[in-house]
Amino acid sequence: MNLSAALNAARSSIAAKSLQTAVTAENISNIDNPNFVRRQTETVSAGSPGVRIPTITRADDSALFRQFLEVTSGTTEKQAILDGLTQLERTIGDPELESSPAALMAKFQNSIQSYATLPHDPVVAATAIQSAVDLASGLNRAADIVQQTRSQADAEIGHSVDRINSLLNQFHTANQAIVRGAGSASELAGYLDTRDGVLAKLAEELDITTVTRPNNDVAIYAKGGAVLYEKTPRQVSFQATAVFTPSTVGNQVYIDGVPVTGNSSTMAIGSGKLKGLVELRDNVSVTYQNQIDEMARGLIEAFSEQDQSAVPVLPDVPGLFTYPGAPALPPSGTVMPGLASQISVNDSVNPTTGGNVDLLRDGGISGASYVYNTSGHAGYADRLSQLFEAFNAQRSFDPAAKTESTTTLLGFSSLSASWFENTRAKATDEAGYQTALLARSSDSLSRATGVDLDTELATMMELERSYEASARLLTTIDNMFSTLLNSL
Amino acid sequence: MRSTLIRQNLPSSISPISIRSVQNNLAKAQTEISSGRWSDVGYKLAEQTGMVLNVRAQIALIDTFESTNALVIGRTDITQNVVSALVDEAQILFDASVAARSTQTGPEVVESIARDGLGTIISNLNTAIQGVHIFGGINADTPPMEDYFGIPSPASKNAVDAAFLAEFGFTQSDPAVASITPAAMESFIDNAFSDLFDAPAWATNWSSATDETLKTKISFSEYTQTTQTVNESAIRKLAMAYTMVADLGLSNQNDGAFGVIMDKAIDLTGQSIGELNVLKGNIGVGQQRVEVASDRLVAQRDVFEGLVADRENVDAYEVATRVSLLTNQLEASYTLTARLQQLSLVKFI
Repeated sequence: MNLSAALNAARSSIAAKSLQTAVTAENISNIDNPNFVRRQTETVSAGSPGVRIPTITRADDSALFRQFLEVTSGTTEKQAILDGLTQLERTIGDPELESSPAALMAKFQNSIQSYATLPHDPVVAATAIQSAVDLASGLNRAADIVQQTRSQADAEIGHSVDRINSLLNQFHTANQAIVRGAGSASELAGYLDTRDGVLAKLAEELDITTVTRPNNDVAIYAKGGAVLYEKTPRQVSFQATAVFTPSTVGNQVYIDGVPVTGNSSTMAIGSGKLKGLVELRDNVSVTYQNQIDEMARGLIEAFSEQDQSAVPVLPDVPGLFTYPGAPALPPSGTVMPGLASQISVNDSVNPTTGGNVDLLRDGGISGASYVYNTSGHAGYADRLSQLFEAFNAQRSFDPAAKTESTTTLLGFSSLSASWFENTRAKATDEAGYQTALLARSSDSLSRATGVDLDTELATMMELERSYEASARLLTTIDNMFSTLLNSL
Repeated sequence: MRSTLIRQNLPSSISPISIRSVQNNLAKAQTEISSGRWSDVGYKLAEQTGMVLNVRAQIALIDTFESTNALVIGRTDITQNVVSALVDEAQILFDASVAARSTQTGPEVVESIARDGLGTIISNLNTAIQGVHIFGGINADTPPMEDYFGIPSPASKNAVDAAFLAEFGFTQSDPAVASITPAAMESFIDNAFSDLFDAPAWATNWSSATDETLKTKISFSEYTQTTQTVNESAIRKLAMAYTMVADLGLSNQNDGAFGVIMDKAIDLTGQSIGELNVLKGNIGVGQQRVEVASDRLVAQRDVFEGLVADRENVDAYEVATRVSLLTNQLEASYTLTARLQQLSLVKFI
């Protein structure tokens, strides 16, 4: 009786070892699968002595995983903002290249000084006009880049939303399988891996919290409280805007019909790529656009012409720099969205459109009543001196541009460059910090839940020995039985 | 980078992220060594970007001032030469008139000196540099005066002829000129003739220059006058003295009238020399101001360039040290990773 009990024990041990070997083999074969969580076996003693039933569990660590999800969202948010700012940086470039609006403005001021020294010289005049054209097209280009960045961010929000929806569907499939509890323990563990993998990807798009329900059912909420998944995936919707103009306001993202971005949202998401993109599209870019528009407005204002009649009756009009709204001047101190993409040098003074370059010196770009140089002498430089000083005159700027509200044109353009580069430097630092944090978090998670080849191999050797011992036991018992039977 | 889980196969391998960051830093340091400037100047400057752009703008403006000031100095140098030439001419007529007054030389000599001199004066006053007529006021592209003895006769000569004819009833070349009394001549010179050299007749007959002159900015806050005008009283007086000697029929005048003309010419040239010297002094002061301004701008540029360099340039020694540190770090990481690869149980069972 005791001998057969020993035989049973040895047999169950062999069965347990082979199962454990299978688990080790699965671990090793999944060594490069990022979503794979190490499987471990726990052997529990059964009722009758010696019989042990191994169970397979996943070595997951929910606290570390939660932290990892949070850091992932933080990283993708900062990275999205930084990527956008890197694009916008082309509007400023290296200070050495002198391609920023501030540098172009300074160049133009210089060419006015040269012109004021040689006011009769049409070649110097044409050079000054060319600088003005460069400045206007520099502002046009900067405005274009901002709009490109915005529309790209908008398109990426669309892609992000698509990805979220598809991830939620993948999640649904895995979650359902888990809740049903169908299949073997190994299959179930596979579904759990898939589900965690989907959560990790979802965290790239927006920050999520998960709640585990009975039957290992998991519900997903966005940080602001919106339900992303509960029994079924909820619809995340967003209408992308095809063409972005400076006055375009992008659409908001809705989860299950509730707005989760924008100022009116009561369930706003806190981080993730989606949040970063919305921030870029609706906040950073818009402020920068305002600044560029204000530079354009400042230029139109600085170069506007006053009625020179003995008794002035006509209103001030745009001079060298004009825009489609001329002859009215843009209202002072108020941003006019899109002005930077519309500003141009007046045709009547631009030689490439048949204009007369002398008008820059004489005034009268917008009509005979606005002629400053009434005597028509070629050595007249008073208007040019006035224009030179106009760069250094204090004027008011819209507070929406988030720099000084009263400063000079040159001061404003350099403040804008400061604002931008400061924002970018901060974003770079934050993204760098988050990336390091993510690396650390990912590292600790993978140490806790990943597969270590050495450990697996050591386990395998252990199993081999124990299998050998059990097999030896079987042989010994068999010998004992045969001795017993032979002696009968 | 992808932010999904990064599983690691090895117990203590160097994280790929940290290797990548070392590599990135190394690449940046290498750019910095070759260019001498920060690899990402905008990031490094951050909120100081505007200040640096501003300083760069100031440097560019100083460069512009330097080249415009060079023009200004060239222009004032020439102006100074012209005024000196005018003083010389005035002195010649003064000397000749004094000599003629004491009857050492005949009227023909002084008359011909005046005729030649008037041409020299006018051509000097019509000097242009880079297309700017320096005595034209702001009427830069027109010579301010016409040749008095040019053909056809300019308005200036016609006006003198007409005034003479109206006063005496005959022309300057008429032998009847000898009958003009000293008193009549004096009255003519002081009234009708003198009026021709005062506004508004001067501007109509003689000068196309404006009273207003070109003022040029020579530094961040200073302006200086860079053209003169023939409407200056010194030049009008000089022109009047020369014209009366050259074109009032001097050789036919009786001694009394001749004496009156000579006295007036001596008086006017004397006054003119004094006023021209004042003008010379003023121009000299202007030149001095431009030079001082230029020197100061150069000094300012050195300061500004230092400011920019401090912020945009890297310390070559620091970067070189950084490169060698990073290289060592990277090599150590590689060596360690290779060693750890060897430390796998697979190799021992």
